[in-house]
Amino acid sequence: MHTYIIRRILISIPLLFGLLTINFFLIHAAPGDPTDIFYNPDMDPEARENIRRIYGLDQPLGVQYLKYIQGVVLKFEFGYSIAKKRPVKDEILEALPNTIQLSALALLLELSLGIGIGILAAVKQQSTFDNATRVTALTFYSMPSFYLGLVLLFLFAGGVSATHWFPASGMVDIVRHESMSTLGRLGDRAIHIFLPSLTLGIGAAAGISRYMRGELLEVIRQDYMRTARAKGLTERVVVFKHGLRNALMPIITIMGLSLPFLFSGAVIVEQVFGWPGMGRVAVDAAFQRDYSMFLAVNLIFGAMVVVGNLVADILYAMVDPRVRLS
Amino acid sequence: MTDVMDQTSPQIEVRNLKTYFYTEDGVVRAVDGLSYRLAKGETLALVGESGCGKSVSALSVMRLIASPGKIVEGEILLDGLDLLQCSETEMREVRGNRISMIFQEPMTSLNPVFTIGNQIMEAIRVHQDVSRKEARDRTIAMIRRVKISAAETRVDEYPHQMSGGMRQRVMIAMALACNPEVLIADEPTTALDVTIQAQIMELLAELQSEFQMSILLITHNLGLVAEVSDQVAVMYASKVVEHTSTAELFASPLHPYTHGLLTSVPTLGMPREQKLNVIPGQVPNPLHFPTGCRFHPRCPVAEQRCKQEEPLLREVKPGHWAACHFIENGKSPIKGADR
Amino acid sequence: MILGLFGLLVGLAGWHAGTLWDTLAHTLEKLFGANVPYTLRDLDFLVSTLFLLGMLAALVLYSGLSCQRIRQADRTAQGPERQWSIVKRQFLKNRLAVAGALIILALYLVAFLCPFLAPYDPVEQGDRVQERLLSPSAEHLLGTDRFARDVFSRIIYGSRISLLVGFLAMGLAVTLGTAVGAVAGYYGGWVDSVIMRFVDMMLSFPTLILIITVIALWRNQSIWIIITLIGLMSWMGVARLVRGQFMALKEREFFQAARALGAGTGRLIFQHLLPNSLTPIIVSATLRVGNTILLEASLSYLGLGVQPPTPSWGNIVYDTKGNLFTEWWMPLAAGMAIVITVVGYNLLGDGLRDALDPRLRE
Repeated sequence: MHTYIIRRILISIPLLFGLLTINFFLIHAAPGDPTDIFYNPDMDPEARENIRRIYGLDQPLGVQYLKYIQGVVLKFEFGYSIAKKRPVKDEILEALPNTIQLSALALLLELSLGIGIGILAAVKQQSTFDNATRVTALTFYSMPSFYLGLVLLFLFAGGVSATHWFPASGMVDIVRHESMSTLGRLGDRAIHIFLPSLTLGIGAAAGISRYMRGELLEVIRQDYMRTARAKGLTERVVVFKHGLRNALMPIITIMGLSLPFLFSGAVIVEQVFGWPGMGRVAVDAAFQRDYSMFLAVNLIFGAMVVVGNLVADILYAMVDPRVRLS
Repeated sequence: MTDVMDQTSPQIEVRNLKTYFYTEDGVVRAVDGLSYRLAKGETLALVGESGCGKSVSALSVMRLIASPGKIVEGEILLDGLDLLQCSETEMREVRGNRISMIFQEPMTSLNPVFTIGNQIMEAIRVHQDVSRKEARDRTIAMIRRVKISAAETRVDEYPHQMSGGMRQRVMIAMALACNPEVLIADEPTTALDVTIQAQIMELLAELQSEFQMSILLITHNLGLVAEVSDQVAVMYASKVVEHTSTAELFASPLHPYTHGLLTSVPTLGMPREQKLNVIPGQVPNPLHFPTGCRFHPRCPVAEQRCKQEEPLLREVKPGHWAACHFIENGKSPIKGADR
Repeated sequence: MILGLFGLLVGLAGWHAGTLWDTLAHTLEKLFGANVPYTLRDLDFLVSTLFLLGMLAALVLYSGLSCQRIRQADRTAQGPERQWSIVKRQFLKNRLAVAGALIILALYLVAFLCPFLAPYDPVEQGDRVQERLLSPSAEHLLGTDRFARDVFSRIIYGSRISLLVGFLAMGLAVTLGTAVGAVAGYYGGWVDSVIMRFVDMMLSFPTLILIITVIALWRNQSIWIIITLIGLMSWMGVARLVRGQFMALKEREFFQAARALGAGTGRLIFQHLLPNSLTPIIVSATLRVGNTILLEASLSYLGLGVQPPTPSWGNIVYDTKGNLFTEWWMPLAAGMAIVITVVGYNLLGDGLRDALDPRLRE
């Protein structure tokens, strides 16, 4: 078990370095230069060189690369954002918690909704409920997250006045939030995060419920389920004790693998609901061609995925004795 | 010779059991009118080729037939209690407690995520009101009884840490944990090595005399039948074609199918020049059984009558039942069948 | 097979140059004069789709032939005819799958017949004062946008982008994934380890963000770049699948026999392994089309995809999302078109999987 975890961590390290390296060279291979933002036709070439020197862009790429690694590993520094005129680190530290908040809540929704519906559909296979959820899940699964977001916005945040229950954007009520009580602030945050996390969670839950249904149906066919029934256990114990534990194990892995999709979805959802997170940072960086910001955003998301998968693998090893004891 | 159909108080009696599967392609008559009686401490072997309905009949006794399968007719009397009339709750009291079952595939029949001790204990605790501690002690005792060494440590092991033979022993321990009256063993040794097979059968025989239970042994292995069973029922195409005591069956098989089965197995001391018999043709498709006698397309002595008229299982000589038109005066229609 | 894959790549490269099609279009224009209902852009789409469909048909034909050869060699009990009839029956029995197939068919028809179906030119702007942001009416079924363009016509023309992107990006992803997976699965050992670690790494990137990065930094938002990028970011799943298939098939008797008989690498891969892996590849390709369409739509929604005035469903939503609370029919209808398309592909893929995968057939 310990050797497994250690080996798994050791594999993650080169993965992270690979991510960093590919990103670094990909971004530096792009035509143009971070200093283009200052560019105007009248600019003195020498002045431009000066700017490049200030940001360390005159050094050989290899040196820049090593310095970057040093900064990231030792000081969690990602350079300076020319477009935002502040260290990238500050911008990230501001946006990252918001994205994590949103994603974590969405993940929670995804799991509870997806697993719950998947189990019900599998247990009542071929019933009306099963068929209805299958079609519904497929529809949500096939829906771009921005569309679901817009529909929810339209229905509950202004389009239909009778059901205008939620704010259309932001994390808090900018005007009144400061004057609220602690409980009020919490409620304010809750109504703001509800629609975005629902949008992100439902789409992902649709996928998970499809997997969950399939896995449980597969497990129900196994020989050991017949053994459990032959022991005289109730159908509930058979399905929920013997079946569920086996069916949930692959879901752990699938969850780890679905993290990149969750984060991609977060980028869109943050855009739809004006949520000040990493997705907004990424899209802003795209329009401002903010090189160092891109590099940091890609790295952070990549690292979150790698760590997420690591956690998923360790969790898997913990619940599967075949891995744990080998 | 044991009188196979006329015991006074059978432990378990199955009467005219019919289990059908309603598939999209049609009705599969997997078990079509099966009857037998089994006395306390006795072993009945149900023999036949794969697909003849023997496993389904076993699962029917446990009432573990899943949709689209259905028990459409018959009675299953466990000490006089008709299991087919029981509610699902009453049935759960029977499963694993009064009737237990062990399966063909020890590799996949144990849940990989629970320890074997946990799985055996579960069988005890679901039927008996005992403390965890006591259940565990009894589990360890049970593991010891199926001759697994170091029971105290192995109780906490997972199935994947054990060999196939060990797992089958665990299955036996689990099945016998509540001291059942009837044990159904569905091809218990098919998946195991030959040496392990003998050990498992020996263990079963030992435990049978210890627990005084009846065993329904389902197998296609005639060698096994000769060794352990008291009576044999031969199944072909969902029906019993011959039913008698083991000694009688091996001495004078009367049904052409039984004869074919017995002569298709090489025996020690068989003259080298003697050819092994082969039953021509294939096992019939259960969706479309042949008319009349279901064996007629493959039978060496079949005549026109066999295509039209279905032979009934009748007592062709005292204690020997067979379903063939041409058995007269207790003589097989095949020459030289009496050995 | 090699030719097919190669052709697919060459084809993709060809479109990037685009010159070939331009010439073709000009020739046609000379032939028919100004009365041709198809514009240059239409032709681009038409020719590329036809080419791709031909390629796909050739691939399927090839796989069918190879499989038949193998089956004959194996002398299996079930002939290919019986196999296909089972598949066909299973598929047709699945009403949802048939519905999916019909949706896709209808969409392709719409995409081909755009000039006849669309009541207005999708890019032409009307009177900015009088015809701006009209509500739905008999003349403008879905009203007009802020540039006084007919939204219904734009949505009809938008089908081309989605279908083109879905098809081409998937084609690229499947080709690439098959190649990479085949190498990893066939050679195994350290080659496999290195390749699969790379695949793991690619899977760790949130696709959308990496594509945004490249598009933004390379300052190129041409549809071809977007298709290539989506394709380059979507091959990993196929690679894993093909690798797994190859690994499993390598253990099978027919492969061992062929190898024992001294068949060369090329023969082993293209005659034995690949044809036997095609079923899951086709199924996963169908299921992946939906994802590529969603990815393009998301990019366009962020304003980083297909650039206006060319209509794509994603950029119609982007264009009109400001009108959500007033002229809600514009963004919601365009989005609905995406949902219907992707649902169609996913239904089709699910149906194909259920029909082709005997493990799930009960």
